[in-house]
Amino acid sequence: MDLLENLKTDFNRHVSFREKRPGIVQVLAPLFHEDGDMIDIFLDLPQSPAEPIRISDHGLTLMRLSYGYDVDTPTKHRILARILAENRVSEEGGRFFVETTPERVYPALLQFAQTVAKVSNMQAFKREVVHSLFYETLGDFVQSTLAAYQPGEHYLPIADRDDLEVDWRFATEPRNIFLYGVRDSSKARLAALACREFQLRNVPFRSVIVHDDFENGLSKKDQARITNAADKQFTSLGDFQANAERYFAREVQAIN
Amino acid sequence: MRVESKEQWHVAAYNQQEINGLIGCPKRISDPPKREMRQSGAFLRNDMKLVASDDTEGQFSVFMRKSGDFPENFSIGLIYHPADSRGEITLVRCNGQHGEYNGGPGDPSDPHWHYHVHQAQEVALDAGERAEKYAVKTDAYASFEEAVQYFLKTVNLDEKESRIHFPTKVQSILFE
Repeated sequence: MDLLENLKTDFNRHVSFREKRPGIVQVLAPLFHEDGDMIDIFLDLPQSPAEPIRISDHGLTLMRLSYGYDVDTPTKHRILARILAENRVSEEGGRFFVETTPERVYPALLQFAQTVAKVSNMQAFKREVVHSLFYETLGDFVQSTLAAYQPGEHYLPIADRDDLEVDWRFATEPRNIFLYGVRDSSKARLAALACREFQLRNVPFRSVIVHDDFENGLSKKDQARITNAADKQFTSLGDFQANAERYFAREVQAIN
Repeated sequence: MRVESKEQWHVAAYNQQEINGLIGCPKRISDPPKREMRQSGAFLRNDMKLVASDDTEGQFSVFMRKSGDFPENFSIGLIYHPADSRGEITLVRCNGQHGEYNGGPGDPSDPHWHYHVHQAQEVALDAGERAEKYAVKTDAYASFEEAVQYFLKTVNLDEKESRIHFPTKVQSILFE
């Protein structure tokens, strides 16, 4: 068929085709996902010359995405709709497609593959990935917004206890503020243990805990442990970012 | 803006011994699958959660997916969600005949079209690639149903629970 021959020429022969079903041809082009699997692209061939050629994924992009990420919130739906709209790709029953003419198949196919790759990368919005940026985001905020309080990282209040490190120490006098970012149970236990030990050793300090997700990220027991040990807690990074400046100003005023 | 090197992201998150241990440790179901796969857009899906029966911490999630348009295109996978902050990892994926697969880490020379099993490899993590990039052809199954049985054995799910939730056709007839 001329259409497939022309596509081979466009791809400089680096493409082949396999009949998936009558009238549906799978495009075997050197376009791969990160795990080595080929991007799923099919040509739904027209029944008559007047009909368009449909380039489709037959629903396999959203199927792949669903292995570890579901488009199940209004925000995710909005992001998906935007990716599709910006790339002029349509969606019907979970299947992505573009309709084109024989002359435009090659650029349309490349645009389609790019769209599939973009949708596949929506898993980068996954909570876990955002979650993994927690310490970095907290550090950036501390070093910029709270720079006036002279933050220092990895502080050791007790010389002979290098296992009890403080994430961020603010050189407020006469009592320093010790800040811990807490993303999971093991960090919550470490922070609680350290605060208890500093109290026993009469280290002059006020402790501030910034949680990634206090409600859902910690067990009830760990919530109790850290609540009993800490002077002040922020239940989320957003809460801390919104209130930290006011809190530090009040705290310094109260100390002095 | 700080740009992390790939080494900082990946190296030493999991070594091969840990990966093999996570795949093979005995498991039981903590959140059972649906009795039947359900339609979701253009594909069928089922999911369940597992925990280890030994002292392995963390949770496992299992996904089962089958294309509605091309049922020979399926994937059944195991994802590990650690209790610590190392980040989740896809340990195994049993795939159907979905299209070409293009070799393991650094090996673009082996495209094939067969049923294949992706398995997490330390070498892939060290190379900064997807953990489960490496895959091998298999003749252990030739249908979605057979792949489910192969997967359940591979991930060492409790045999009784496997029989209850995923009876083979023979078992279904016997217990009807």
